[in-house]
Amino acid sequence: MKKYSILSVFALVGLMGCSDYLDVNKNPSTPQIAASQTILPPMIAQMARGEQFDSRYAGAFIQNWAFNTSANVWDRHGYATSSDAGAEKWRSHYFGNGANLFLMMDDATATNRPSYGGIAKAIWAWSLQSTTDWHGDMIVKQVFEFGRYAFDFDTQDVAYAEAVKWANEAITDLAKKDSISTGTITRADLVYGGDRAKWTRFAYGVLARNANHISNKAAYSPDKVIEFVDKALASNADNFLAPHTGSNSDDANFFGPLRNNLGSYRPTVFSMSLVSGATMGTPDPRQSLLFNPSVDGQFRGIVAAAGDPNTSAATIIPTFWGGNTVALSGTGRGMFRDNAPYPIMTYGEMQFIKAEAAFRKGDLATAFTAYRNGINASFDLLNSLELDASKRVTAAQRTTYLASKAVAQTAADLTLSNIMLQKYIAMYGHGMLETWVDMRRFQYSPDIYTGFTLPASLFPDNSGKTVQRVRPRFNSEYMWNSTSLARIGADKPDYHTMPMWFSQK
Amino acid sequence: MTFFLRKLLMMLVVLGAFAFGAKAQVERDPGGFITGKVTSAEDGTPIPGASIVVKGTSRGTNSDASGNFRIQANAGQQLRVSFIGTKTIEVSVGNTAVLNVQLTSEAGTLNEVVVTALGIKQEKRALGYAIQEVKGNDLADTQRDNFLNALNGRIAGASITPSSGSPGASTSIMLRGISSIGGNNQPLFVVDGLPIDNRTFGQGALVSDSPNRNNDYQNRGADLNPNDIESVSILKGPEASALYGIDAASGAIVITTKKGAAGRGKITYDNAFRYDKLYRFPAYQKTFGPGDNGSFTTPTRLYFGPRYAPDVELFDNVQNFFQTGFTQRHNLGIEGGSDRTTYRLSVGYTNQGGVVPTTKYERLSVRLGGTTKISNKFEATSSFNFISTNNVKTSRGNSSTLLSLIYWPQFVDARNYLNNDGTRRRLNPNSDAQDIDNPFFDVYKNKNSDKNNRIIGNVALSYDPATWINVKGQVGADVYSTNGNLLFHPQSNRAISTRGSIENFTDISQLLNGQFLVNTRKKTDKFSVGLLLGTSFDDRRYNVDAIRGEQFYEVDYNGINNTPPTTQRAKNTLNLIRRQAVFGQFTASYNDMFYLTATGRNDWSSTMPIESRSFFYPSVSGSFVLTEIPGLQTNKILSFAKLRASYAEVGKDAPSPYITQSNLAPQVTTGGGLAYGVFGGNGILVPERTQSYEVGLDARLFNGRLTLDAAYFNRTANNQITAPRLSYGTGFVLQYINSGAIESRGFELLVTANPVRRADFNWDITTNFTSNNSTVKSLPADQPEFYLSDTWLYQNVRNSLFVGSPATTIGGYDYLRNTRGDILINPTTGYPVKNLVFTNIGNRNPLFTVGLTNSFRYKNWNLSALLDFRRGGDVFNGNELFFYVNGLSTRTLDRETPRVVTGVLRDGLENSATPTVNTIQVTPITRNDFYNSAFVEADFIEKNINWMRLRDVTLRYTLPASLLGAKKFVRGASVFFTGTDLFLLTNYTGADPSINGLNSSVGGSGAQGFDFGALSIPRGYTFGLQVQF
Repeated sequence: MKKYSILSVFALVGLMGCSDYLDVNKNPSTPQIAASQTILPPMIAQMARGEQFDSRYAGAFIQNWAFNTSANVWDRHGYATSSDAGAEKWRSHYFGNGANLFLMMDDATATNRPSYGGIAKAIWAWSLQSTTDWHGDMIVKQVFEFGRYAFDFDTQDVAYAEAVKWANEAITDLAKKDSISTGTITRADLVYGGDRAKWTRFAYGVLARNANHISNKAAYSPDKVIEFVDKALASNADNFLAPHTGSNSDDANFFGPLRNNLGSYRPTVFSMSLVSGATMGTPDPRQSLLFNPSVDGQFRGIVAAAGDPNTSAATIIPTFWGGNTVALSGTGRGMFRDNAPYPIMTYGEMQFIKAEAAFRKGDLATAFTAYRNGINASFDLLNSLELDASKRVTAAQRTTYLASKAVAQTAADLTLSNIMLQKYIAMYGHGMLETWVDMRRFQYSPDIYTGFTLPASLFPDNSGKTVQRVRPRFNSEYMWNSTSLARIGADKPDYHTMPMWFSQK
Repeated sequence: MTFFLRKLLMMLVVLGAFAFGAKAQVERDPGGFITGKVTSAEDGTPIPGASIVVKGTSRGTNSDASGNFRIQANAGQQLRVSFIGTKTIEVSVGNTAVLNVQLTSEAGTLNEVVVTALGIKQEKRALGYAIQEVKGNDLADTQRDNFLNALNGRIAGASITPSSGSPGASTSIMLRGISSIGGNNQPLFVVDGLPIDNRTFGQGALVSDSPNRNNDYQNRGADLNPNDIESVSILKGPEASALYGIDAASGAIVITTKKGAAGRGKITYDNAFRYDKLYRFPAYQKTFGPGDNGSFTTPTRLYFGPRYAPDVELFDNVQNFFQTGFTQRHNLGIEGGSDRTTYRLSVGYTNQGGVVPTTKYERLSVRLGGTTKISNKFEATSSFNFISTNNVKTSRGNSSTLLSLIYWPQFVDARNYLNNDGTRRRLNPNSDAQDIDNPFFDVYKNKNSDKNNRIIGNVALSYDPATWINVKGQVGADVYSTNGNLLFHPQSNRAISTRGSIENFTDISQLLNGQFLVNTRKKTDKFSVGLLLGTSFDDRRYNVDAIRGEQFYEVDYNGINNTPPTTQRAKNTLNLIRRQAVFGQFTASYNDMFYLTATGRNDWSSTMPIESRSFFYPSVSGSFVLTEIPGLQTNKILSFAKLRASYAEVGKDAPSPYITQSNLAPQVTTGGGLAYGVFGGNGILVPERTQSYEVGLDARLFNGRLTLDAAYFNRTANNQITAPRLSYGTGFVLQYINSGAIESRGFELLVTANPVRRADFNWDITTNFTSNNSTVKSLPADQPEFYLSDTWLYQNVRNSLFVGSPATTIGGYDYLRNTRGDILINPTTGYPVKNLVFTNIGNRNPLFTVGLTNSFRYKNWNLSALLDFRRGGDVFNGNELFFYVNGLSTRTLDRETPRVVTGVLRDGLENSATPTVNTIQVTPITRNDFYNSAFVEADFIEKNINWMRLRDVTLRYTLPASLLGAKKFVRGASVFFTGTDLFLLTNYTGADPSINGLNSSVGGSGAQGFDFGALSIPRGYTFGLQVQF
């Protein structure tokens, strides 16, 4: 008997060799490997998410808006200590988009679908560019190395060169013959429906930004900028608009009432003055597309870091959605609708880049045309985002405005300030990261940004200096990569005031 | 220990046995009846409650209070007489009508038997490691619904942490402290030889993917009805895992359920009625009203305004909210059988109402167990348990009912939570910020519940081909489903933008396991050897389907169909884990003096990379019985002494499946799709290793009236599989890697004494002492800190691990100081400067804990009380910090007094020989940022928290037989009163230092010592009765 028993034990041991039983280590509820068309939709959503999260703070720096209570740290060019606030770009670049884009590139190579590869590379180039413009020094060379726990930071010029490299690779891929992708890409590409020409223009748009940002440097070439712009977004039909379904809080516009992320933000006196006529001399019909009057019918703005001084229901400044509270705001309006798309890059922006480059070059005629194109593109974009046709700017209103003294009427009259102020208005509420790049290039100069005043009291750690960069993500770098961080001085209390490479000579 | 528990049991039986009639006498009976008396062979005292069965028949009886029995038997038949803790004997029936029986105590012969791993009964003297046994009745007598809470204070080396005083709150248990940095440190739960699930639902499977701090879920081990438990053996060290495998690396709780006994059928019924009252609340100020910088502003819930006017009516919203909780419990047990087949059926029903309105915990448990001897060599045992629970809960954390009640404006009666039209009464309709939910609205309009149905089945076949060999096969299934419902009302501030949100989930878990054992033993005169060979499998399937919707159609309707389909999101989480093992155990002993046990085990786990899925680990233990040394054998004082030592290794697989490759996660953003989840996979993981050793001493003095059991252990867990947070440069937020080591060590002492032992008065004392400590040897990826993100409840305080510090360290912000240690002061504000780095600001580990049980019996009266002491250990008083920053703390009452913060200015001279002493005067009433920005978290860590709490006290009166009537239809009855958590003496300034703001699914060293927003343990008064038919 004993023999039998022991034998049966060993028989069971023998069964162990049958390893099929243990081969259950592949996730049965979610695939662990996916094709490009599955990964692409969330990539676009992530592009908007990262930028919109942080644009709340960029919007405060550039005084698009300010907090409705006083002394907000971001309004004061400061930062939230020990917080990830202001570093969603960081998360998107490395995690939200990040490694996923490389999964897409691998899939595109393996399945010979260069369209997807080109799109992934274009997004990566855009992400490198916009992330370094936000954070400055960042991890470039050692990114995603398996087994590495400490990552070195690279200087911004390295990130700039890398963005150029990936944009060019994207353009190369997008030019390749690809007959396979068409079956899936029209549905998966929520922005351009698989139109490779448009993605190519987007990649050139990244190159245009890249070349434009170094306007203070000797290497700056206005011709190169104009060349890139001419190959970039050619009309509002090329606008990179990240769509939002707006059916629930997960797929709604970050700036809409369903997400309720802008509930405490109100327009500033500065931004209101640009469209109220106070600065430009003539009221801008776009005012009512961007802003909402208080219950008493008055448009009001707040002084950055001062909060809303009004307390009565009739005079308090309403939300960007129209009502005084989220409950009174329905689904929002205009670009602050739950289902409004978020513009990542627009034709209008490109035209203002071209106007600036041509102006710097001395080609005022080209600059003037691009400047007027940019303003018109802004009207068209805002009108298209406004669902209520009765609220749209009429052709007559636009003509009146374009003929007014708020807009330069001849090439000879055109100033850099004209260009930058119109660019500021055109990119209100979506191009905050780019506007901040511009304002840093001009060091928040009121000579360019007429009427712009810094908050009365800057954040204490600033020692009187303006904000120039945003710290890398706290719970990524400050917690887990602090040695590398210290090497670039990011442990210093005024690190966020260190000027960027791009803005220096 | 067991000896004394046996005594206690005997004592209880003595009381119960009055039911058998006090006037039992020896008389001659012509109908073939035999009478007799069962007595103790040691001291001649009667043994009541002994089982007497006529072999080969279903006839049986029990001895009465005086040890007497009466049974019909023919000459030549055999009587089998047994009693727990004694040797069972068989005596032949002769022609005499009187047959007296003497039972030899097993403890008396020092052959005390305990249930060890795999349900194997082993002589305690042979064990080379510590094991502690608790009787189920002792647990049931505490009248607690979660038997883990009943174990609290009774086990040396155990740390048991209830998460709050709410009905159905989860409880975590750790034996001998922590070994896993971030993973599970809870022991394995084994019922009748096979593992059951003690998971606590983790909210990561929800569509909303919430952290485990805003809701609580029952730990599933609490499903067991304490009344079904016969005994609980606690296997503290990883020695247990040599036989139970990976999940027992942190010890095992081995539960043996009650079985039916042969003899006359028995019906027991007991009930209990309990009133719970919350009596400990955090203190807060009621002097200064809402406002800012000393002046009144509306709407604000910052209490930095002027003093309340003397005529203003303040409402005690806290007292107006909490109610007396009422619990009723009924248990019915039916058992019986012959000497071949026995069975037991039990039904238990509990309905516990909480101190928070609407909260409750309801449980129905039906259990049927039976044993059949198919032949003399073949026995089958099976059990089947159905459990249904329903738990209605309240929210926790930042918006917990407790904190928001206190935060609620004191001049507004919170009871008026609705407007006349039925909508939520808002404090400020113009602003959404700050307009948090009224707790009354929260409990009546927001919904939070889960319902669980569970079936645990277990079948075992045992075969003895010969006297020296036993073959046993056992298969078990533990299947349960949980339906959860979490709803935020459309008018709730938490759903104001989503216009109502609902999330339902169904968690279907299935554990199948089985084992096959061959156990052989041979004994010669001096030598005894045994060999156990076994194989087992463990198959787990956890499936969670969650669905979430928003934007309710009908505001007051709770259902997913009440939301537009476009808002609905679903998520499925299916985890499969399979393991197989072969194991062996060799035992040898010489002359009852030397014992040696060696084990080896090989596991195969599906969660590991294929190359490293198979791993082997050994253990060895031995004991030496000193009292067998010639010369010591007849020692009158020292009746028994044993030295023991053991060494064990355990391998551990990856804690969750599918991590050998990165996982994609479904995306709920526009267009959906898949993208990487936050955890980076790792295809080159190897098993973790834990090494431990233990030495101990067992002694009995004065013939067992004083016993002590001491143990010292040391355990190091190396190469842990954890997922530390790393730089996002990895492409992920967290990355699974092998690294990190923790050493833990501790001393445990268990002492029992029986100072008085007389026929009508008995006094037993059981006390345990525990002192554990741990050191983090290395951290994952050589990072300076590792933290458990769920414990980051409020402000900058969390469960942090630093190299060289204990694993129970509190990480948080402290003051920035100069090289001399002076606090640095901001020269502009006069406020102290915070050091914005998480540093070691406290240690939650107590210096030691002591549990002391005193049991007295005087005639028909029994009194038993458990006192629990703790010395040392720090607690984060998160409530106090919350009050401080909001102006509610009593520490802010002197806000009108100008003060200068002691320290030196941070003006560049702070580290020079002559730093500038701060002279900047601050009057906080005009500058409330003194409170809400100049605090440091370290000031809210309360150091060296001691407590003494009366956990349980039970007074029981057993009705004398004279009251039960002559017909003996009722065979026994008793009434009792139990007080639970009647008092707590502590130097902690908050409500209760034992609770925490999380649920027990938090891994690592857990959340003990993070007091934030959780209800204190209420005081309970229970009374009830017990009847036996």
